[in-house]
Amino acid sequence: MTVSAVVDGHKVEWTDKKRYLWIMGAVIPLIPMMIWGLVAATEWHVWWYFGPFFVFVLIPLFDLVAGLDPNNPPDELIEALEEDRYYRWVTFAFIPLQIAGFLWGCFLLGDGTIFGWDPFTASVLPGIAENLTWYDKVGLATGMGMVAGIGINTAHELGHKKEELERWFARVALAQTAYGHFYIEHNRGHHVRVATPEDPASSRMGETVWEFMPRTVIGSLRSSWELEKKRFARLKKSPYSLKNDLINAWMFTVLLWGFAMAAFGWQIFPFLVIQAILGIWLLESVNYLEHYGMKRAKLESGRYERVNPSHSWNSNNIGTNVLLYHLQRHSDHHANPTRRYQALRDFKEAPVLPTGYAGMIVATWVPQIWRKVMDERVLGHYDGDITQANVHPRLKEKYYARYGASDAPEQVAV
Amino acid sequence: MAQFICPNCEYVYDEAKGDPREGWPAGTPFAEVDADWTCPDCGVREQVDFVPAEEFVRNDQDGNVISAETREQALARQRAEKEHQS
Repeated sequence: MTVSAVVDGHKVEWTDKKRYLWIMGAVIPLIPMMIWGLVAATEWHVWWYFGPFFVFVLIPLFDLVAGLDPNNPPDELIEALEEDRYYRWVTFAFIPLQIAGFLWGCFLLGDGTIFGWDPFTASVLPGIAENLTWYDKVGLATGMGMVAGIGINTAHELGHKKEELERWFARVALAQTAYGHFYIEHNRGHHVRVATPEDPASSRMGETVWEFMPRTVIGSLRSSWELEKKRFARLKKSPYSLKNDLINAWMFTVLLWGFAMAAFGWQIFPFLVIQAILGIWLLESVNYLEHYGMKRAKLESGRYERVNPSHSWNSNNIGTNVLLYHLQRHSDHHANPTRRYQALRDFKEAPVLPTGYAGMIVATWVPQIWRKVMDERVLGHYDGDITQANVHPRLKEKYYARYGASDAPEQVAV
Repeated sequence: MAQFICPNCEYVYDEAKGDPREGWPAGTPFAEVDADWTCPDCGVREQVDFVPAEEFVRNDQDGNVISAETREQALARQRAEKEHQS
């Protein structure tokens, strides 16, 4: 469909080639159903591990094959594009499907009964005669974890909006991972301090993803609590209240997990924990690669320079961009956080990753590979001046020595 | 009572209404709002960055692209919250 507007007597037209592809994002929460279909059709146990295979093999391959989409909507049409409510429904559709997929998975984890009632007496589900083994269940939990992590991305898109309804939907999408505080910490913490050494969710040059994980998970939780505590101190009230946005967001998890355990048995609890940890790990992996090594300069006033397109890593890969609602047009997102996904643009001058976020996550698993791929790129981005990068304090000396600090930037290959 | 606007997302701080949810009761002069208080909508501008309404011409986003609808929703939400609080 073509969007058009009349500006100064001229008609401006633009066609969103991804318009109908955006619906693909809603395929992700169906992973638990896909797993059932695959297992029922083949009886191969290995399909229980389809979730990570889909995210870390199929999606990166798809990215490599499908290529890039650098198309930007013209400035004149961004307003019209933002107001097109179709795009909103695409993100809304994710939420009920996520809940349905989650409960579907829990039904399987709970051996096919719901409140003691056994709807398929002869089998767990049609096509699945036997109860799942423990390793089947772990596999299913990894698939649910992939959905959970990508659900945090949907929550991210919704949580940035000014509309109250979307902010509540964000909390619902975070319920599966028990990561409700993300909505506060991301908007009021991460966006404020992004690409500074103070931000727990911005990774430093040389920092491995495994070092980054505890730092971001603990640091973000602590920061989100401080933010709400500060707000309640201004209100002169106790932060231990349902009006605390962390507590009311966490309540969604209590409700969702509580319902699932009541319906499908408390024995599913360890698998709920596994899928939540994987979801959080997936999200924090994305955090890791979004700002790796980036640093905002400190101004004379003591404040950091404003976030600009040079402070985030981007990708124009069609596959991951469609599945992640343009999250990879990250520079525009940080410059204009309330802008809707369909209107995000590619900045030609912004730094670019070699492939989409899914494939890049795979590269984070082996720090040596990650550094090999990324360190030269960080350095190139700063024209060889290592002092401008956000280098891990532990490795500062080593990196400065290796890259000649700032005295010989021209010797560094870019 | 004056109004101040976030130069990025056009959130409006109206001194007459304050922003009770953020801890600024109705009537709080903008000068008494913490300097490091971040815009509650976009989070990327602070109190010191806000512009008095009468001086505000356009936001600082590239191409000045923010939808009138988004702006209207933000105002409506603020109004509803204020009514709820009072």
